[in-house]
Amino acid sequence: MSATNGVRRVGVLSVGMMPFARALAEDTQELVYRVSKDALDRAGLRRDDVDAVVMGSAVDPFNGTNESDKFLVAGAGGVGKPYYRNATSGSTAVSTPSLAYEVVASGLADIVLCVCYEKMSDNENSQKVFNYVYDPGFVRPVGLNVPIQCGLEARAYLHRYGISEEEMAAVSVKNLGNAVVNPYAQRGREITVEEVLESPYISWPVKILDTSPVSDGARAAVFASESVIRDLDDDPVWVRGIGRGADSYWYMGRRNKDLGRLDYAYLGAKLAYEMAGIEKPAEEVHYAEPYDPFTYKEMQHIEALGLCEEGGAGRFVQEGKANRDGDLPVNSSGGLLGEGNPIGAGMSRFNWCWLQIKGQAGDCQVERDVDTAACTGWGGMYQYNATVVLGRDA
Amino acid sequence: MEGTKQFEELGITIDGKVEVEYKWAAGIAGSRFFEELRENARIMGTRCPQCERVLVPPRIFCEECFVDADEWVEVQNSGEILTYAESYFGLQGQRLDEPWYVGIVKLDGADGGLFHRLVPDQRPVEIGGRVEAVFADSRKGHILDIEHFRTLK
Amino acid sequence: MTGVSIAGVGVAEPAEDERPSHAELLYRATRAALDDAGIEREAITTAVTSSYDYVEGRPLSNQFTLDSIGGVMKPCDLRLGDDGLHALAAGVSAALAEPGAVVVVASVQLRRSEHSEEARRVVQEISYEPVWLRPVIAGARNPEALSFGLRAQRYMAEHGVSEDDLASLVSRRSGLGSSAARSAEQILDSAVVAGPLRELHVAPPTDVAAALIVSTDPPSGKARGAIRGIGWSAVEGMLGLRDLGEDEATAAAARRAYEQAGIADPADQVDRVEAYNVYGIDELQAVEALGIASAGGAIDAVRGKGSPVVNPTGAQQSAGWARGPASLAGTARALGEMADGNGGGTLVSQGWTGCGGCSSAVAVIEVAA
Repeated sequence: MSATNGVRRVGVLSVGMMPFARALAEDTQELVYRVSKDALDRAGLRRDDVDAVVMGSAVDPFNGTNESDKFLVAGAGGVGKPYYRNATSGSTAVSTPSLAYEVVASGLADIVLCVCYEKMSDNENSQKVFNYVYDPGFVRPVGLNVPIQCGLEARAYLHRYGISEEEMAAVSVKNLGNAVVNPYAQRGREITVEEVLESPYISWPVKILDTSPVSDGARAAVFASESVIRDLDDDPVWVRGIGRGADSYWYMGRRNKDLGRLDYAYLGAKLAYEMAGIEKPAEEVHYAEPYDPFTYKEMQHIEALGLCEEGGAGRFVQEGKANRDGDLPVNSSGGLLGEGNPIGAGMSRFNWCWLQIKGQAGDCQVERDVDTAACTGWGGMYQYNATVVLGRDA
Repeated sequence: MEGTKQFEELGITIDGKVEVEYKWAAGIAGSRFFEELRENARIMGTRCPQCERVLVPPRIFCEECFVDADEWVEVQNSGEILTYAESYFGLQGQRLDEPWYVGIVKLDGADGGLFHRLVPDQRPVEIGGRVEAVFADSRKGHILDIEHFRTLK
Repeated sequence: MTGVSIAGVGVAEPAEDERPSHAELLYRATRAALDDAGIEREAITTAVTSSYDYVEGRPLSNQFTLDSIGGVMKPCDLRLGDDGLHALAAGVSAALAEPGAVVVVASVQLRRSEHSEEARRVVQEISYEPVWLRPVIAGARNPEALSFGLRAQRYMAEHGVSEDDLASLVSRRSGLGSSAARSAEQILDSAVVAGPLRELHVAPPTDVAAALIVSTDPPSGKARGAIRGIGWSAVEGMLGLRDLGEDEATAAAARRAYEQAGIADPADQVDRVEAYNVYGIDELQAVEALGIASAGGAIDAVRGKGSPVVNPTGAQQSAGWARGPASLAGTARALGEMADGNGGGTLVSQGWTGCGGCSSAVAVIEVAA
């Protein structure tokens, strides 16, 4: 697969992993160090080999520190190097890798370390922090929080396509079950559809077991130019496509006012597939890690990725196609639902795509061959999408 | 299951609280909108001279055509529920027996609308349901000068 | 040369009698930049913004900018929690990674009107790491000035620069504006907030929005300037762990920018410098780190009328300071001033962010006549 626009190809040399947990003893710099060291070790590189560091973390107010990232530059080996920090709300998880890709593709650096972290346990109540996300004039005084925000969107999605709560529950059963054998996961558990349906509502139709847990954690990856990759890796994984989409802040007046369909996610996927030269994603994408802070979000993102027909993701999952032994496995790591959701470190979706392609996913490895994988991030007031497609040479 | 130890067992923590006060500008468009709610109990939008959409919440620019939108237009107080959510928790976190509702209302005469509280009056709250704004008697230039939208037949 | 040009610029400030919201001010700056570049919103490919959640008072503050930068249903989501020049560096990457792409780089902040003095104080205080640093300075009147005071003490003792020298410099810079003007006497009479820094050494807050449009192929065929080089670098944020005598972040950023730009002797090859001067001392250290003066030589270099001229319109001491847009606004204004029948020339623009200014970005721009 040759680069588009004559821009040089970029690959991913390694990923850095660590277990997520509701609360970790490590401070944020230690989290960053763990995954940075892991990524460098796995790539056989030292700190001096890295030309630039791209950091991602979504929410400074979780740490009560303005520019909290400036105190962990050293943990990513970034002192004295080009360094900046991206924050695009929940989509940070995948927009940060896309930014790291751009730095290498631009020719400004040959080897870039990309790190994403979030330590949500530094504050007493992440809900309170989230409540300040909303517009101070038009939204916050009315009363909005994350559960209600999801209720609005999930209801619209179920209504638009006639989807049932059982379909949502199937996603939870799959992902929590998948996480049981994921050594980095916080919430691996065998559960049943009934248990999900009986769990308390946070806002209809979203229930506690449809919701990913608050978490601490970090992830890293080493991006490199083609010449570096070819020197160091005889089975390279390339960034085949990146795409991002974002829709109006004033969602009441968007072209598409139906929150059930994420036009901006379809846009992100479209741009990524165009760059990757993928025309039939349901056939050409072999594995996916879509962003799943809630069960219905995994469903919306499976559809936006074109892996099944619109409105059909629930049935897709119920029919077993997305299982580890299925035709098109989805979130075999357990996703955010099973692994935990330390917002920026949802970069784990990207990392697992790489691990699956490389055959290094351990007990999470899917049965079918994986040459091409796609991941997504999502965030904001129903606003942001980031999509990345990774793949080996055809 | 969810995490391992309690926070206190993991290591020393330092306590702190961050409180920062702000005065966010409602802006040129927001100021007029809230003034109209207060003075005239009416909902206003701005019209884009190019695509002619009437924007609510009003903005001084159209985000599609990317030109100034400075013609003010009154829009109707009635509209349609695009989606809604119910909550059995009050704003202080207390459990409620009866839920309260919020939703997105597309206003008649506007390409847009408001996120606001919904009250089941003539009909239950449902997607596609018709609603109209109920204004507060005492208004101060604030989104809650509209108390809520009540459902209509 | 990076191969990326600046196709258009826009700066917006509120008029005397109005209070636009920050989304409205950002729209005006972006609209002006699009007009300057001769394009409409359709032409925009992508964007990078700069904003700080705590300064904006909104977590996920990037959400509020999308419509204003013409980004609806476009990949215009990227946002750095670093200043506008760092965002420009990311914008240059985006432009090079997709040749022909039209990239908006923008920032807005209403630092004067949306924050009380206490709010500004708290935001500075929480820019200190909470376990090791913040307890030491909690409640300080001007927490950020403390870190620059540390830098100033070191620098002034090492190079024999006096308090009069620094006050004169700040006064000269401030005097070029109107409402911000301060005499050296007034500065030296004001209360010490972070010895040797005093209250009136500190640049006043302002409200401003700025947008730059960059591309490898300016859509209208002409460019305001060519970005010859862009570098950025961070040093350790923890104050106890770094040497404050020199501005190492700026030095490292400048090295990279000059290498790309093919500049071996900046004192000779640069016509104008725009360097952050929020506390006065930052200008002196930056000018040396930029290779415009040797160690200790900055106080003389910035006094002279020779070349390169440094902060001729006063930078933040005159225009006021807003974290995020200040460096972009300063760059945009300098581009205008150097063009405008003044023959253009080589501009070096520098800005910092982070605790004690631990991360810097430097851009070398060849300004069209």
